[in-house]
Parts: sequence; structure tokens; C-alpha cells
Amino acid sequence: MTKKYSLRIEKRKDIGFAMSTISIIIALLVSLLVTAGVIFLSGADPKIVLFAIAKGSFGSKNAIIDTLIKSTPIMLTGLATIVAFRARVWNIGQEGQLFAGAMAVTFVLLTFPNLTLPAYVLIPLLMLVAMVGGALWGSIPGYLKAKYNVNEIIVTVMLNYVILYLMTFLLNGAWQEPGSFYYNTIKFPESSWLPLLFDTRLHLGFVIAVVMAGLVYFLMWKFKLGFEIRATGDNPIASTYKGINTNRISLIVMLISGALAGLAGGIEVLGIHHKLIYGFSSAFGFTGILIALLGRMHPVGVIIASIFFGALHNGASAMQIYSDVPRSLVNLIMGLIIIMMLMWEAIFTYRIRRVENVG
Amino acid sequence: MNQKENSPILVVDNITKSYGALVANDRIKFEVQKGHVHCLLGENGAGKSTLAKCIYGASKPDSGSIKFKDQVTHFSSPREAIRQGIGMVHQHFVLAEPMNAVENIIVGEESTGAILHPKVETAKIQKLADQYGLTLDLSLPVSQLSVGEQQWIEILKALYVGVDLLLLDEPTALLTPQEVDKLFNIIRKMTADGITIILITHKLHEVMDISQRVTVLRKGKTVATVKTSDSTKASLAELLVGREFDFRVNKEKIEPGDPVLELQGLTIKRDNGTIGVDDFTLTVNQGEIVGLAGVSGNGQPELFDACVGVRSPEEGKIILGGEEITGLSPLIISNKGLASVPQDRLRQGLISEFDVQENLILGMHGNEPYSKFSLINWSKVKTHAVDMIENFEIATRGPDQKVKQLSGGNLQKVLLAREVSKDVTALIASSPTRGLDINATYYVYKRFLDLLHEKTGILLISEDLDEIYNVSDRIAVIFKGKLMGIYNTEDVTREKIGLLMAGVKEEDSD
Amino acid sequence: MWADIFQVGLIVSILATAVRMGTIVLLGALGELVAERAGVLNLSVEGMMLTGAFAGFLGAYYSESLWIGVLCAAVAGILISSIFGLLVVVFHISQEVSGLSVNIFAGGLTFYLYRTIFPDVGGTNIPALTPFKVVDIPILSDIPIIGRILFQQYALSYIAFFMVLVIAFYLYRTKSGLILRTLGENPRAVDMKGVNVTLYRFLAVLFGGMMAGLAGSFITLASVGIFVADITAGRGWLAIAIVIFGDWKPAKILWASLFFGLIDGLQMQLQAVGVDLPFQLFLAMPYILTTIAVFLGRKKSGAPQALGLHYIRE
Repeated sequence: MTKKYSLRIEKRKDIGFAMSTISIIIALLVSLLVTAGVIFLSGADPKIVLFAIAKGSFGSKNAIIDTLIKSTPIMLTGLATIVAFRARVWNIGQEGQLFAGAMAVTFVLLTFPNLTLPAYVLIPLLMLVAMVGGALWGSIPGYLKAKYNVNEIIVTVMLNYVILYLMTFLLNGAWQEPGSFYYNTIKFPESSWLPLLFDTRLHLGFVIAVVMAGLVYFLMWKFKLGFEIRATGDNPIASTYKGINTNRISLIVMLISGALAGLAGGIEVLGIHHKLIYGFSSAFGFTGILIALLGRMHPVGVIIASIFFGALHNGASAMQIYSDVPRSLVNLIMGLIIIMMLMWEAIFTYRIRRVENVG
Repeated sequence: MNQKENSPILVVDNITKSYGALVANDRIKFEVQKGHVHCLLGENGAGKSTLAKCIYGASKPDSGSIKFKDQVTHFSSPREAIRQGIGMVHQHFVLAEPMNAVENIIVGEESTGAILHPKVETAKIQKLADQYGLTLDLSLPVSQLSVGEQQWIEILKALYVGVDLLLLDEPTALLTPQEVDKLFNIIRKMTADGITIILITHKLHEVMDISQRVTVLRKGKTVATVKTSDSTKASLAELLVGREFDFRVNKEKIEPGDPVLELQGLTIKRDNGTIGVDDFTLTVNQGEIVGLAGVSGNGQPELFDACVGVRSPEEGKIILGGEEITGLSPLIISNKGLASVPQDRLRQGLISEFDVQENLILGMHGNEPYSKFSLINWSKVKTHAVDMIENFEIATRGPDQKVKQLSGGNLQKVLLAREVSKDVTALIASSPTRGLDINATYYVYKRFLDLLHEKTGILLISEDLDEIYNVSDRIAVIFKGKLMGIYNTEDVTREKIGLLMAGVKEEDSD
Repeated sequence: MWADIFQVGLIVSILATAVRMGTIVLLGALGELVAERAGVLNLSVEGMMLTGAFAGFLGAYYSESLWIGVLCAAVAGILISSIFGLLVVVFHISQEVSGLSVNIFAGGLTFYLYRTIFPDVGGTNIPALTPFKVVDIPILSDIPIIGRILFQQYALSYIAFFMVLVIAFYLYRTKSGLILRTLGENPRAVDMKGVNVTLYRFLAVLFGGMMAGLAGSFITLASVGIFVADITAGRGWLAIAIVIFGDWKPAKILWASLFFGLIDGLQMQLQAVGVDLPFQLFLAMPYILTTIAVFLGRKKSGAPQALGLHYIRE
């Protein structure tokens, strides 16, 4: 009797690091292809567009500086997301917590206008204020979840809108720069401006963000709290049985997450605009989620992903000079990449085996 | 196509099935006669489930054939098998809990019309239930039915479609002896009606009670197929394990010492507010194993949870090694010397994404030497893991292998290693050998005995009466949260325990 | 001030707006209900709604037929949700992660297409179309008060109400609905009966996508007649909240949707009347109330037991 073979698809139990990396690379390549296709279909020349993006992101010293500047806030919101998501706390409120941080800083600077502290005292203080502001805003969903098991997804999203309107109200009222028609405050005192590095436009915030990435890494993998966060995220039941207070963890991650997002807000306001201005955040909060997913929920990944994203954004601005393709191509690319990444990793968890047929 | 008269309804011919390197079924061969109750007898891991899957269409054997009603079967799915007349009742029920019996039975059936007619369908099923003596309330959500009643729904599912051959996989695992009697009566009614039953079990007395034929499996091979009337428990046992079988675990008698775990007047509420445990008092002493027998769902989970610290009792005290631990947090209780092995290994005991070394320190991760000032000392953690892997013979690539890749027996070893590698005052273990093969099971018992020598006491909670009987020094019974009685093992019969498990107290029995 | 508010005319106006604004979240919630009843938690409703809003606008703008626009919106919702379905039902990727990712993707795609197709939008040059007109139901719309509230609405609202009945009937009185509900409680139970779990869940997701797309089209085609960024303003998230608040039951979801429509409507009318509170407070009201609602609804017991969990046949 001749043997017949058929192909059977099986699921692996775990995907190794090598496989993971390969799947990411394939995902990026496929995304690139699809993007080129989209550009082509909208009537532009993919080669020119992609070249323009590359040039705009890394083509010159200024381009690199800009890339790093753009990567700062999203690196922080990406870190904020990691800390929460790793505990299976679905914080979608980074945007609002970012506003809270910026608003906290604004509040302090506007309420105490005659602060004559030197920069090296004022700035760390303000960083702290920003973190406290973000943590407070994050504590609301955190507390509701910890004490009452309220769904944090809905609450964090709703609070984003609430604080946005609050900020608008203040910027249109008590905080508005006298005589201005726009929603912005007066310029903050120079001692609060984040110092620039190496005679460039790159501000201290970038360094702070990278340092925070390091701290998050240490927290998650070297400290007891990080161990408990990861345990809770993977199996809250077993964690409870082995003595971890999962409710406490939920609250703590929301505080940390909120603090990191708040810090992003404070840095943007003190490093770039030097005032609180409506629209200072171009979706840094939500992008943080994207960055965390792309960065595979790891601080190193977040650093890479945020720089990549910053680069794309920069490149997109440059791209505008060369073609009619709108800047929002970047959003599309990022969305495409994340979906591709998820898909290809999933595809790689399957393998095909040849199996002998039964008679 | 009609079957020939007198030919067997099922012929299993040289069925072989492997999973990777493991040969689960090795040229299995036997026949089943129509209208019989035919038992498949074997220990855990003997290959019964694999064989069952081949018969009812859930998997394809690598080689060999199965003939049902004189036709070779080519089932591509259990669905097809049912259509041809072969059904299966699983050990773990597959029911949607908020929905009632009727809904669970008719869902997805071809005979169900596109528009539902609840009254008509309920009447149909009620008739079927009455025919076989299944008394249950068809309108209640499944979550409100007893385990026995839930099982009847599973049987009704098969009867509703009209099977000729029904496989029952360890159906009595969660039943009291009285419920088992009821089930066997139902089985007799079914066979009287011409339905053939294949009963998969590892319990010798069941085989003797109900079957006409029995096929004994050992390590994937067919040992023999014999007439029950020609056999005895001893002869079957010999076929089962290949040697004179000593039912009881070999234990030296240790003089019990001071109390290590005292449960005093415990009343514990369930999540839904009802009473789970009711004024329960029990003492476990050093050097002894106290087995807590009871049908699943009579308060054991709540009792376990309270001892471990996950649930607070409404009333009563829990004392560990002389110190009261009632209502303290799980962390503190664990640090004071209570080791615990939960019922659901992966869900309650281990973090599947964490590796072996991380799981080995779970619960102790905040203590020295593994951590100081909240900073984890990973090299100490690793050393500990290497030590445990060797000591407990855990089959793993290394301390950094993710636990989800380990087999059931090794998972339990990791759990045990974690629990017993600290100072243990008392151990509470819930169904510790469920799903383990015979080697792993005896390994667990061996570790328990080692603990006894180290002046620990063990509270063993198990739904497997055989296990309780074989291993415990004293047996307590829980029914509806109350303590029904506690006896020395040598002073009490299994029948008596069974009665107590069903709520029949001393005074009531004849 | 308060005397002004309690004029009958104003109340009727508010209630009519409630029905109108409630339609949007109702459509979204009904779609999400079906998906969740099958056990799938879809967090990309907001993105799907946005895509539907844009697709609807685009379709209507170029075809000069509003109903073609509605059709386009439905198709767009189905297409986007099919990506989500693929990730979750076929590849068994985490439902939360997939939902968030598709949300981001849909947003990016929509915005990109918007900018590509309408490159010179701004200031006075905003592409607009004539939105749907209210359809008066003959006879019934002449009933005083009730007629104005219930029977002088957009066609899409009538469709939405009708869908409540259809879905309720489907879930509780049909064979397929029973399968779906059982699927959400114990997928293995229906798998053993030979039901294709993957296909059922996938179709449930597509239905959710279609409804989200329709909800989006209501915003651009019935409400305002233009498309701007973030025109959905969180209503997709509101829809998800309403499913929870409505304890996964069609009738309760209807009431919850109307309630939120009321808040929306209240906010608009009170602004128009000139109530002396900051208008941002009114804008924030729906979101504050949703937070409170979710808090009140935290003990809901109707959640399908298999919601959010993957089913992989052993």
C-alpha cells in the first residue's frame, strides 16, 4: 500500500526569540510593500516619497535632532502603557494623564509667578509636579478598579474627554493669556524651560525619557513590585493565592502609568512650547499605546519604536515638500505595521508538518 | 444498512495512535457486543482517553481500523460519529451554565427548527427523561443543578439524537455511591433498550457491578478482554498492573503529635452569599494525613480558600502551629508555614508565562534570600531552581523554561517543590494527583510521606474516594459544608463513607 | 432660567433629540452586543464608527445618493471588522490588543484617505452634503407630543429601533441565536455539536462592524452633513459602555442608549437656551455620566462567561 501524506497545521507552544524577530522583520517588509502600493494608488511615486521620508528622518543633523525631540513624549507614554498593560490594566487614558501633568505644571507656574528658584531646583520640582498630576488623574480609574472592580477601559477613555474640556475651559478663562484670542497661557519663566543639549534644539526631556526607560526596565525585572506586576498580568488568580494583592497592584500601576504620562505632558510644555497651549499634544497619549504594542511591551522596544515613529513623522513633514501625499500617511503606516506585526507573529506560531495518512 | 445478527456492534482492530514519541495506543484490539455494558479498564495514562477519541471521531488513529455495525468508520468529527450513532459523555461536562437543560440539549441540533418552540421541545425531552428515569428540572439554569443532574443532561444530549453506542468517560468520578447506583440503573435501562455502553473507568468495583465484558489496557496495549462473570477484583487488578496489587500505599505508622492545623467552628460564605462551610471543626496533627472526602462542591473550595487566606470566614478560627491565622493575608499565612497545593494547578497555582525559577519563588519572592529591600537577587533564585530541579526530578530544559511547556506531572512537581522547600508546619492539598499518571501519583505520595517524617501534618482534600482511602490515617467527610463524621481509616467502610458523603447520618442509616 | 427649561416645547425638543442622538450609540451597542454574546470583545468600535462615518460621507458625496452612502458605511464597517475578526478569531491574538490595534489602524486609514481625497479642506472650503431629512410616519406623527418625539425621526432611527426587535427575536427565539448565546457561555459545548465556532464568531464580529459603520453614517449623513476629524467623539466607547450598563440585553440597551441620547440632547438644548454654565461642562456631561453609569453597573451579571476568552479546540 503506497503511503499517502497530508499536511497538517499545528500550533507551537511558544515562539522563540529568533522566530519573533523574523516575524517582525517580515511584518515591516510587508508593511513597506503595502505602503508603497497605497502611495502608488494615490498617484504618487513611492520611490520619491519613501526617499523623502528617509531623508527627512535621518538625512541631516537637524533631522535627527527633530526625530529625537518627537520621540520623547511618545516614549514616555509608551512606557506608561507598558507598566499598565503588563498588569492587564488597560489604561487608555494616557492622553488625559498627559494633560493632567501639563496642567499641574501650569497650575504651579501660574499660581506662584514670583518663584525665584534656580533652574536646577525648579525643573526637577516641576518634573515631579507633572508626575504627581498625571498620577492623580490616573488614580481615579485605578481606585475605581481596585476597590469596585469598575472597567478601566471605559473610565480612562471618558476621563480623557472630561479633562480635555476642563483644560479648554481654563484656557478660555482663568488661565488665558490676557489679550490673546487663542487658547494659551502666558509664556512661562525662563528658569522653567528645559535646558537644551549640545547647542541644539534637543531638550533635556529626551534624556529624561531614556532614563525613565531604564528605570522601568529595572522596576519590571529586578524589583519585587515588577515581579508582582507581571505575575498579576499573567495570572491574577494564582497571584492572589500566592499572596500578591492584585487590587493594590492595579492601583499602583495606574499611579505609575499616570505619572509617566503626566511627565510626558510636563516635558512637552516645558521643553517645546514654554506655555500651555491648546493642541500641544498631537495624540501623544494614544500613540503611546501603539508604541507599546510595537515595542512588544518592553522598554527597549519602546525606545526603538518611539524613535522610529518620530523619524516617520519627521520624514512625513519633509515628504510634503516633494509630493502631495498627506502627512497622515504616517498614521496609516503605523497602524498597518502594528496589524502586520500581530498577524505575522500569529502566523509564525503555526507550523506545517507532513503527516502520514491513515488508511 | 443493518448489522448482521450476532455480530459485534464495534470491532476495534489494531488501533495505533502516537503523539510525537509517546505511543498512546499500541495495536489495541477488542470487540463489543450489542446491548452490553463493556468496560475499558486502565489506570491514568493507560490510553483509554486516546482510544475513546478514536472511537467517537475526535481523532484519527495512525493505523488500524474501527468497524461500527460492520462498516469501517471514517469519522471526520464527533459530529459525524453522532449522526452514525456513536456518542460520548465526557468527564468534564460541556454545558452553558446560565442556560437550562432544554437549551443545552437542543442547541445546534439539526432537528431543532430555525424558530424555537420551547414548549414542544421541552415536552419531547421530558418524555425522554421519564423513559429512562432521569428526574431533573428542565427549566432551571444548569448552574443550579447538582453534578449528577448535569451529567444526566449530557446523557440526554446523546439520547436525544438517538445513539446506538454511548461512551461514558469516568462518569462516577464526581458522584456519591448513591448517585452512582442511580446512574447504573439508568444504564441498565438503556441497555435493556438495545443501547450499547462503553464505560471507561479505573475503578474495579464498578466494573464488577455493571459490566458484562471488560477490556484491560496497560501502557497503551490491550492486556486482555474477559467476561466479568469469570473475573474477580483481584484477577482484574492483576491484569491491570501486572502484579499482585497492594491497594494501600505502604506506610509506616507514625505516632501523631501536636496539632498543626486546627479548624474551629468555621462558617464560610460563598461568593453568591450562600453558606459554603457550616460550623466545621477539624484538627490535623503532626505525622498524620487527614483525608477530607466529599462530593465536589460541598464546601471544599471555600475551606481551602479560607485556610490559605483568600477568603475570610464569617465565624470560627483557623490555627496554624498554635498561632491563629484566621483572616490573615495569604502572604502572611504562607510565611508562617502553611504549604498549599490548589486544585487547579495552572489556574490557581502557577504563572504559565513565567519560567520555572520564577514560579519556584512565587509567594516567597519578597523574602530573603531571594530579595532584599525589594530588589530581587536573581542568582540566588537560579541556584535555588537548579537545586529543586534536581531534587524533585523535574523534567525541564532549565530554570528559564516557561512553565506552560511542562507536562502535568512536572507542573505538579514544580508546585510541590515550591511548597515543600520552605519550612512547612502543615500542608493542605486539593486533588493533588488529578490527571497524573501512576508514576507521578506515587511520587506525590512519597513526598507527602517525607513531610510526615518532618513533623508536618497534611489535610488532603480529594473527590477520589480511593485516594482518600489509600493514603489517609483518618477520614473526615464534608456534606453541604458540615462535618459529617471523622474516623480512623481502619475503623470505617467505604460504604459508610459513601453514605456520609450523601448526607446520610449515623442515626438515619439501618 | 429653570422656568424656561420646563416649557413643554423644550422638553419635547430635548426628548426628540434624545432619540436622534441615542440612535448612534444604539446602533453601535447592538452590533457590539451580538459580538460580545458570541464571546468576542471588540474594542475597535470607535475606529469602525469613524471609518463608517467617512465612508458614508464619501459614498453619498460622490454618488449623490444618501442611501448609497449608508451602504458604503456598512461595507466599510464590515471590511474593518474583518481585520479584527481575522486577528482574534482565526489567529487567537489577545482581544484587547487586537481591538486597540485595529482602532488605531482604522483611525489612521480614515484620516489618510480623508486628506488624500479632500486635500484642500479648510476654512470656508468644507465639502458638505445635504443630510437626510426627517421622515414623518403618517398618522402616528400627528399624535401630540409622542408623535413629535417618536415618529418624526430619521429613517435610520426607525431602522435602529426595528433592529432592537430583530436582534431580540434572533437571540431568544431562533436556533441560530441560541447557538450564538451558547457560544458566548461555553464555546466547547457548541463545538462538540459540530457548529463552526470560528465562522460564527467571525460573522458576529462582521455584524458588529456593519452596525458600527451604520452608526457612523448616521453622524455624517443624518446629523451634520460634513466630515471632520474625531467626529465620533468617543461614541464608540460609549456603545461599549452601554452594552455593560444594559446587562447584555437588547431592551435594557435600548433604554440606556436613549438615556445617553438624552444627555447629549440636553447638552445641546441647554446651550441653545443660554443656560449660564460653562459650555464645556455640557460637553463633558455625557462622559462624566458614562463613568458614573459604569460604576453603577459594575455588578452586572449578564456578561457572557466566555467573553474575552479564546476558544482553541483541544
